[in-house]
Formats: sequence, structure tokens, C-alpha cells
Amino acid sequence: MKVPQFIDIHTHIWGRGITLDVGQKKQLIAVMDRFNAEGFVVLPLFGELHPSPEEVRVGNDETAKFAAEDGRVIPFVTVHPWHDERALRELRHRIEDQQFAGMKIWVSHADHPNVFPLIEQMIEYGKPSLIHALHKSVNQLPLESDATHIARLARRYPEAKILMAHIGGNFIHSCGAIADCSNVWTDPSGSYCETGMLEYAVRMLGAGRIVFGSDAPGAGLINNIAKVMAADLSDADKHRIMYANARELLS
Amino acid sequence: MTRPEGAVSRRDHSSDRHKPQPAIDVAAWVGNYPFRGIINSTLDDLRGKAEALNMRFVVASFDSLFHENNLDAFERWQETLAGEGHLEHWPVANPDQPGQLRYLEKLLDRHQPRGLRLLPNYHAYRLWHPEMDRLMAMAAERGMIVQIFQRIADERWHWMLKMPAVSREDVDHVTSRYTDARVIVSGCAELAWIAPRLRECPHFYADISRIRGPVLALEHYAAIVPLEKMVFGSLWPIQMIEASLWQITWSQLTEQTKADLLYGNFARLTGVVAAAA
Repeated sequence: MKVPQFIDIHTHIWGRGITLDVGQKKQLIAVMDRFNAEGFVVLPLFGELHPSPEEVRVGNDETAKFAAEDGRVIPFVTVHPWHDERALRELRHRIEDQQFAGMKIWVSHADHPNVFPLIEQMIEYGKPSLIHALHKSVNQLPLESDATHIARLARRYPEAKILMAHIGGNFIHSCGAIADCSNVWTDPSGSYCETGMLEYAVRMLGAGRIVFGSDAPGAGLINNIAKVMAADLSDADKHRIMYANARELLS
Repeated sequence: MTRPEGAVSRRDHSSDRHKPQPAIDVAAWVGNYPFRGIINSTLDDLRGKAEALNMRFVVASFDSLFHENNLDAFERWQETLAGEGHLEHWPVANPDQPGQLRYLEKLLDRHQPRGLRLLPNYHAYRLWHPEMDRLMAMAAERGMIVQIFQRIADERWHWMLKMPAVSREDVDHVTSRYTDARVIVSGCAELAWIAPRLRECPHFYADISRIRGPVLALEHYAAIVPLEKMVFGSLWPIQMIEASLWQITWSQLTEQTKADLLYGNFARLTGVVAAAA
């Protein structure tokens, strides 16, 4: 297997409180160097499930700095929908003043009214919104979206470009939920490398709606590449997933 | 803890990657997984993987895990798998099943598998079960490996599979009480907790089947766990073989360390140099 041309739609920098974890950032750079990534979307994760406005701001500051240092970094602004007007101001600042390429929402039900103004703004920008989603039979986090929340948001805003992270956890549940939402893409990032996952997603959604992501540096890159490159898919589909779809979605 | 000298190589091994290194996957399964239809998971598919990846597999059947008469399932699969030179078939034992160990003893004498598997979370017992002494003695008398799976799948993904991992206390109990036993712990997502016992117990190993992070995981773990006590496993067909395999082959560990992870360490544990090597 040759490492393919790829863009990683789902990587992180982390904070401990409002301090950047420099070691993790170095690890991320090292792995992207080793596997020759063409680009990688950086999503800041500062604070816990309910980050403060300050934690959100510092995370986005660090992401802007990272993008200035490394031309491969594609910055997404993280917002917490429960910050109301402050979230909207943060979003506008990062997109309009700093050319961030998309928005990230972590743990928050995607179809909650607090999310709507953010999505409406993203529709105006024509940029994608990546939303964390995991369907779990146990240990679902409070306010954590699954694919059904994503699907309801997508139906309310068919003009929005929505990217459901982690293939929604349980891929069979999730692909079924978003199958008829043509404005929802998904990334298979994360720790679980289940046989048949990508083949099922392609059958249900089409290869054009799947975008490669790893969740590095918390998760490995090469095992996530394996999900695509070792799947029973055509070379053309693999190229779309690893590279072309992201290019199109981010353009 | 410092990184073991020589464990990581900066050389670019890209030109070596055309011919797969021989490997033994210690954590594969055969048969129908009851919770999900899995594509490309037949015996023919496994034969194809063995050929394409230059790999042998230690397998047990899902029937021998999920059927109440689990040892009968082993006997049935033993007939099916006869002549499959690339597969090594191990039973799943359930010491909590009344009368099981008597049957198991006969079965071990008849088929002489090199190991047996325990999945105490699926069979609802703890590893300090009163029959464990007898089971471990049976294994020790025969020089067998006891393979304990902490997890084989993520319990969050299926509404009937809310199965917690085998606890660290259970594993610690085994490695504390049976210090000379040949034991492989499989399916741990994180390894730091197990490192001290890997160092202390001469025949205690762990596999990499559920190691998926952090990024560059095996190089990360080279500084934390003794890699000479780690073996390769995939949890195929639930998980993709390549997702585990490529973590080794694409790492910057030395070629010797990679070869040891892929088959050398297991061969040392079993005392037999594997045919694939």
C-alpha cells in the first residue's frame, strides 16, 4: 500500500484549561509530516463538555496561530452553541477576520434551537459545519448528538453543508439516519476500525459523501487510513474519500 | 522510563513494504458474529487474507463463545478446520459452566490445542472463580496458553451487547496468582496499566488488537511497555486486519522489533518457531 494523497478533515489540538498541550501538537505535526498530508483540518478542543467562552476563545486563537505557522493547517472555529450571542460573535470573527474554513460543534444536540443561528450564518458563508455525533447503546453523554439529531438539522436547513463526525459511532444506525440527507457528509474518524464500515457507508450514502478523517492525535492516523485503503472499494472511490471530497467540500 | 535503545529506527522502510512480513494473528475469530452481518468474513475470505498478507491465524469460533454448549461448537469447528494449515484452532472455555472442565480435559487431550480462550465478561464469571485454579492447572500441565480477552467489540454499538470490559482487577488477579502461567491478554485499548506485570511475569503477553491511539501508538508504547511482550492480533472479522497490521509495518520501529511483534514474540511464548517465519 502506498500512502495516498490525502486531506484529513478531523484532527485536534487540545488545551489543558486554557493552556495548549504543546506535546500533542508536535505529535500531530510529526504524523502529518511522516505521511505527507496535503492538508488537515484542525479543531480546537479546550475545556470539557461545557467549555467557557474564554476556553473557546483561546482554543481558536491557538488554531489561528497554528494555521499561520503551517500552511497545511485548515482551521475550523469551535463554538459552543450554549454561549448564544457570544458564540455567533466568535464565529463571525474567525471566519470574516481570520479566514477560518469551517465551524465545529462538539457536544450539543444538533437540532437544538441554539444551533440554528450558527447554521444560518454558515449557510451565508457557504462553509461546512462539522458536528460531533456518536450513537451509543451505553454511556451517551448528556446533549451528545447522534445521527438522528444531525438528520433533523439537515432537513431543517437543506442549504447547509453538514459534516457528521465519527460516522456517527454505530455506522449502521447512523448511515440509515442520514441516508436521504444529501447535504450531510460524514467522516469515519476515531478509534474503531470495523470490517465493512466503509463499504456499508458507500452503499448507503455514495462515496461522494464520505470524507477521510483520523481524530489524530488522540487516535492513530495509519489505522484510519486502513479503514479506507483496505476496504473493498474501487480506487476511484478511495481517492474521492481520501482527498477529492474534502477538496470539494472545503473549496 | 526511557525508550529502549534501538527500538525505533529513522530509516525509511518504504522499499521493504512490497513483500508482507510473515505474521501470526493471535486474535481472529471464525463463524457468524451474531450481532452484525460482516462482509467478506467467510473462511474463504480468511484464506485469501492468509495468502495476501503472508499470515497465520489463531482462531476460535463465535459459536464456541456464544453457544451454551460451547465445547460442542469447538468439536464441530475442529472438523471444519481440519487441514487448514494457516489456522490454529483454540476452544473457548467457560469454567462457570457446571461439568465443563471434565469435558474440556478430554477435549484438550484429544485435540491438543496450544491454547484456550477465556471471555469472562461474556460468560458472567470473575477470574477468581473457584474453578480457575483447576483450569489454570490443566493448561500448565499441557504447556498451554490461556488467552483472556478484555474486550472483543465496543459495547456501545449494539443494544444487546452492553458488555463491559473485563476489569483490571480480574487481570491483576490472574497475573498475581499464576505468575508462571502462559497468558495473553487481548483486546486492551490502553496498555500502561499492564506494563508492570508484563515485566514481572515471564510468560505474560498482551496483544495490540484494540490499540488505536494515540497517534504513532506503538512508538509511543515503546517507551512504556516492553515490546518484546507484545504480540500482533486483529480481532478479525469484527475489526479490519490491516488497521492493526499497518500500525506495526508503517511504524519506525526497527525491522527486528517489527518481526518480533508480528511473529517472533508469539513463537517464543509457544516455544515453537512458526511455519510462517
